[in-house]
Amino acid sequence: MSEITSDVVRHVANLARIDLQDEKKTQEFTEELDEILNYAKQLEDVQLSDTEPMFHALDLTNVMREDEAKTPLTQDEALSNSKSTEDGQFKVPKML
Amino acid sequence: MNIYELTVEELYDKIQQKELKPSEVVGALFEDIDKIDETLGSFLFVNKEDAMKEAARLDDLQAQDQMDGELFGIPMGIKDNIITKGVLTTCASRMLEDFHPIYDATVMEKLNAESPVLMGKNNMDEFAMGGSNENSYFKNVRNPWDTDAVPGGSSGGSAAAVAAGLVPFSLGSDTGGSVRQPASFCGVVGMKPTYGRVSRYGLVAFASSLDQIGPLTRNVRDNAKILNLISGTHNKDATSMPDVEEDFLKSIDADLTGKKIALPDEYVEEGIDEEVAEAVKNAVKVFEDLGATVERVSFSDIKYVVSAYYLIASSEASSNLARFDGIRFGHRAEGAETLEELYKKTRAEGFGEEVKRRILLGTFVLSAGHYDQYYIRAQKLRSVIEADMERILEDYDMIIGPTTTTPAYDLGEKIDDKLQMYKDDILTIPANLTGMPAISIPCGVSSKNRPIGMQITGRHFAEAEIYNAAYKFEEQFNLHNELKEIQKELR
Amino acid sequence: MHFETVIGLEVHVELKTDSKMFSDAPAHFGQEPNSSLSVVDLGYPGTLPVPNKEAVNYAMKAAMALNMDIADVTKFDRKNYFYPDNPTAYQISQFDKPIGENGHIDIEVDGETRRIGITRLHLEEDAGKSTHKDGYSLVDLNRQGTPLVEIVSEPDIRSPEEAYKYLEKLKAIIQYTGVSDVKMEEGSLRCDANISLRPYGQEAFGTKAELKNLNSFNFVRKGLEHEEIRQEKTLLKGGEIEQETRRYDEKTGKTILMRVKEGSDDYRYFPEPDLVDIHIDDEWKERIRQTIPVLPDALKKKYVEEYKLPEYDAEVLTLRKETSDFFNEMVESHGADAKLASNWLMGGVSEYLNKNQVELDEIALTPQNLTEMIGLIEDGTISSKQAKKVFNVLVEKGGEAKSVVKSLGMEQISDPAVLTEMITEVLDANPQSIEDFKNGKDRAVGFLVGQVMKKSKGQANPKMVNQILVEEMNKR
Repeated sequence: MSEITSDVVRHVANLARIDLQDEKKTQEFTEELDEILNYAKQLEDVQLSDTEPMFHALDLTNVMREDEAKTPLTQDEALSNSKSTEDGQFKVPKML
Repeated sequence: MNIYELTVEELYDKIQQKELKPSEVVGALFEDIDKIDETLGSFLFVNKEDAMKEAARLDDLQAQDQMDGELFGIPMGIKDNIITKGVLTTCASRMLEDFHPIYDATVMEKLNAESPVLMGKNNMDEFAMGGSNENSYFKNVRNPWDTDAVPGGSSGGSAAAVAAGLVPFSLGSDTGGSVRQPASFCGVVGMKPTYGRVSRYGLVAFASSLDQIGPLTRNVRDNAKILNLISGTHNKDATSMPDVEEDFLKSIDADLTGKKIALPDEYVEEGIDEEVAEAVKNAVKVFEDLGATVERVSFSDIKYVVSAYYLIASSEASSNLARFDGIRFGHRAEGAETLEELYKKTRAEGFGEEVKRRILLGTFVLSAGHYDQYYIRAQKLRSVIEADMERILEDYDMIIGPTTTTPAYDLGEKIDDKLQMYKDDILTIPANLTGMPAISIPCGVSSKNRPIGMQITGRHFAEAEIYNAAYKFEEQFNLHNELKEIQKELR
Repeated sequence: MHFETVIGLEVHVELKTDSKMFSDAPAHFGQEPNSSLSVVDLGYPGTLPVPNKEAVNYAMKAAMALNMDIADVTKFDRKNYFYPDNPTAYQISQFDKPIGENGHIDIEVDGETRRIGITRLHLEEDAGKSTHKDGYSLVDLNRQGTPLVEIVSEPDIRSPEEAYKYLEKLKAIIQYTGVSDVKMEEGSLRCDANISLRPYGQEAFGTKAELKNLNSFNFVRKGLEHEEIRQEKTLLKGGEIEQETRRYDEKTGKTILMRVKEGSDDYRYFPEPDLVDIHIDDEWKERIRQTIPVLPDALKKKYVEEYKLPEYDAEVLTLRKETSDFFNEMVESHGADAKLASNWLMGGVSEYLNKNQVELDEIALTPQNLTEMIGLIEDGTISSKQAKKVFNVLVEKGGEAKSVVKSLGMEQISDPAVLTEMITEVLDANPQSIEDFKNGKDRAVGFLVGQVMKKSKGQANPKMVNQILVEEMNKR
């Protein structure tokens, strides 16, 4: 068994800001994640203590840009896909 | 002459020679789309008005003998996770149902410089997560070979549209096989280039360290031509290679004599459909007849790649998809009274089940206490796989094998077994984990008349070599006539 | 105090680049909200970050100036959290391979030098700003993506006063390097403080509180002072300190609870897959090292040892680069006397700047004309009292000191011939005073000098008048 319980799924869903909506779905996700993570336990069979993790598929280094500023978007463009704006700003409900 | 049968190169010639006008080509294909895409579902929406306008403009240029551009007047489809300025880009998600991008992906800038015509955006699994195209928020895609069958995924719309002759080429994206697997299921050619070959700027990220854009075409030459056009320019993508001028068509016809090809035992043994294994074994004979030697090797660590892949891809996805919060773009839940409620409702409503599942998985994997156990271990396994493959590629020029464990299956057949669907990606995943280039080309047809694909994997940046082998093979075996039959039947 | 105070400071400094950390939008902007953004800053789907090389150079320069070890390999990581001013829901920062580690700065407290360790300096992107309204908030993302360095001190600071000194010195050093404006009032320098108490002699740290919303160095000191007392009272009552974030309220001078931390925040750090490692070789390090100017400590030492300035003067003069540059130019280029230059900079100049809330580079005074003016006082051309008027003109309008003196008509008469003529007239008119002088009545001299001054309308050089007067009387 993996460490996945419905409480863990609820905690993770909270971190990911996803409303799980109902108990049935929570249970489904719990079972599915449990199954996947149990399967992934197979990685524990591999001797990896001397292996470096490979975060990138290519061995590139030092990719940077020169410090040159270009014309920015207009305010209208910046707000164009937002569904709620006020005074040239993005509007969000109150933060608790 | 049937316009829908024509390849990119054939269309190019006929337009350059003024045998066809861009508007004739575009008009004919829109008629076909109207007629058959209701059934196939390969386009999420078409760009008809703009496309006809553009075609008319190109007609004028053609009349004035100003036919500049390698794709002058040639229709194209684009997977809907590639950003197209001013043209709806949804990722087949409710989250981006009404998203109008204000910039172009680098690949779009490059293609547009060659004067093609964008017909519309191809259907896909939501945010490129899935292998059957059953995860599109809007509609399923059906396989042109058999409308009961899935087209594969996540670039299922692109593969189906190309196979059905609705466009001569499309761009897809490949994170764990999403170009190659649908190409295999639909009997077309799909390339996942070396990681860093094509700029990812403007590809809506699924898993940043694995994603790569690649072309889907009906033959190998077209594929090489499109990759020629979209390669390079890395100034907006810090993980892409500096420009290297390389023409993949140049040595596509070279002799294969003396080439050494590896076929891992694991690729044709347990867990691989017998017909698929048989088709690949036949392909071995073709390569041997072409003068190459094919030898069996062992690649036993491949049994771990699915685990590693899903841990890494889901982790990156959980972070990449966190930006969809209802504030600056995309779906926004109604009636949220607090910020937290806005986040949670927006994301609950905007994302489908598969996307949520992977976000939850990835969030768990990255969370405190699990990072080392899962994430780091998976990234270490990646090193192991790369070492394995590099070891094989020290002795051999290429690795061949099936693209998929089975031919296309029926819609609904696997939808309830998530883990099994994940495991199906086992053969395509290694190229993503290592960043190596890999192509899928047809190598057979199953008894149910569904195509079988062969995968050729090469060393980093060895696309030219892969295209060469694929092209020589294609000369001996292809499904071009079968595709034409299918296209005709659909109409 | 029954307890020892332990303070650690986290300072964020905005770097003065032209473009943003990971996008080509301008890093400087005006009032118009959401007008300095690229699609990258908005976190648009499909966009990718590309690091600004100059920001890496600046971060390296700052780290070097803070005596840090520079990483051979540095990389970026994602710090994941949801907030409306954080468009991608992750901040690109540095987790385990910061650009700089293991540095220090020295501060002077009660005449003693204390070395404060600096754990790390890392590069990251700034967030936007939210404004809270009645029942909702508005978000302006202009600041999003501005390059920042975060400088984390060791918990080596033992009092609010030391914290103040640390910040003052840190600010001075960064300002000398030129990589930031370090203006707290403009937000280009920001500070959070961690403070805990422990019984003297105890090694383990107490539970700390984090102080935020500290908008000036003074408020940092005051906030820490208040927090010191609050924690002490709690502990003496047998209470426990909660790990919490507190806000300093400028009106009441108190700290107010913002939120209690539940465990540590789960930021799910992981290596930024969109960015590759940065390898910094010796050649690159050396190139940056060459660009570092003489820093405050070295300059201070020079002022004390070479210019014989008091420690205090040297300290004040080196707190800001404009001041020491001004001072250096006076002394080195124009030959001003160091102590006199220092007196003027710390006196009249500083007074004027404070009173008018302006900066040294915003006024018309130049090192050259201030040096000249000091010279005119020294050679007796003008009196100290007159100098104040001249100074005001030089500060507000500028010009050459000599011509200002002339145009104000206050040049002293120091020509012996002219003075002798005046003195002769006065003596001729006051034979009784000469008599008194010769009879040993020194007061007569004062009276006669007064007469000459009156005759010259105050412009005669008093010292010379005195001298010539005595000579002339002795002749008679």
